[in-house]
Amino acid sequence: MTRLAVLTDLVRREEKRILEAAGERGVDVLMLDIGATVFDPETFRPHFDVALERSISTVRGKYAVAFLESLGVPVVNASRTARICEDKFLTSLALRANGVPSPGFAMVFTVEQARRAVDDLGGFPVVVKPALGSWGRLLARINDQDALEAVLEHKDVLGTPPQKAIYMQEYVRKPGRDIRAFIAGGEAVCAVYRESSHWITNTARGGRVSNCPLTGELRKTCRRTADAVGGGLLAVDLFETPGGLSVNEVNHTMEFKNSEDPTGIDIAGAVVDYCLRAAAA
Amino acid sequence: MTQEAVAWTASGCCPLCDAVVALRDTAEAGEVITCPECRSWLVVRSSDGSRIGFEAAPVVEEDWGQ
Repeated sequence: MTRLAVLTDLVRREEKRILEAAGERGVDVLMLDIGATVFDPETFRPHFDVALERSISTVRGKYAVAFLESLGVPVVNASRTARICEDKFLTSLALRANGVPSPGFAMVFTVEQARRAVDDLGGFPVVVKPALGSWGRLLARINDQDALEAVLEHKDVLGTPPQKAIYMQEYVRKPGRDIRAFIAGGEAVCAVYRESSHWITNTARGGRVSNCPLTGELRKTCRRTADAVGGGLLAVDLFETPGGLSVNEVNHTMEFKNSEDPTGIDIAGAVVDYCLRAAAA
Repeated sequence: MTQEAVAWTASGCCPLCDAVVALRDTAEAGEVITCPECRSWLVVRSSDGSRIGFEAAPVVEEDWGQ
């Protein structure tokens, strides 16, 4: 019987669903608390066949995955994928290098650089995001020069060093919604629309969810996105534009609790099935 | 160290308001719950028979998310 280690700190609805899905498949699960484990290669013995990284903390997850990979344990997602997806700038670079349609972007560190980047991105509005961040936190739509200077000064004075690396993105006018697609092993499993009257559509910010049919274009874009970031279990956020789908972000520890009901798809089951395939590979 | 499923119907005290907080047997160690009295977020940490240990949930950190 395959033994699956689920690396967690806080147990959310998603982790409970993964436990249920594993139980339905007869998979033996070890819940490995990252906050209670000493990752010492001299003493740690991995009594499991495959690990699924589900830490709410990107930093904790990164080190736990690197540690287990060093011991030869297959981990979902692999550190290569996580390293790209945890950073919006690295994600944009990987998408661009692989010809995946995505909004224009730039990395800057000063107000003067930001002014030039605004021109390069087609003028205001632009979006400023933390390169490392999630749940729609600290996103800013910058509509004019005054706002640009204010936001960047606040980051410069109050921010931590990572927040002073300014990821700028072309603002994409979307039809009151975006698309989140769930990918396992390169193939789209299902997708949802996230609708909101606010320009930020994250469900963590109140976006409403409904089923999105998997079109040929969506499947193809998901496949190319997975190839660009190294594959695995991914949640891809896409914009619908007049020129076609455009990939906004890629998440490597997907949250899906709001998406199983509207799609009717057992996403937790797809997660476990992919882990079983990774263990057998 | 591993987390264990908390397979009981049991209770413990909220570390913030001292209210008695009862849980169903589907609770998992590490799970975040809400205190019914003070609405604080609590993490299920330990069990001793029918007694549960709770901690105040950590505040959201900059690197939290998906």
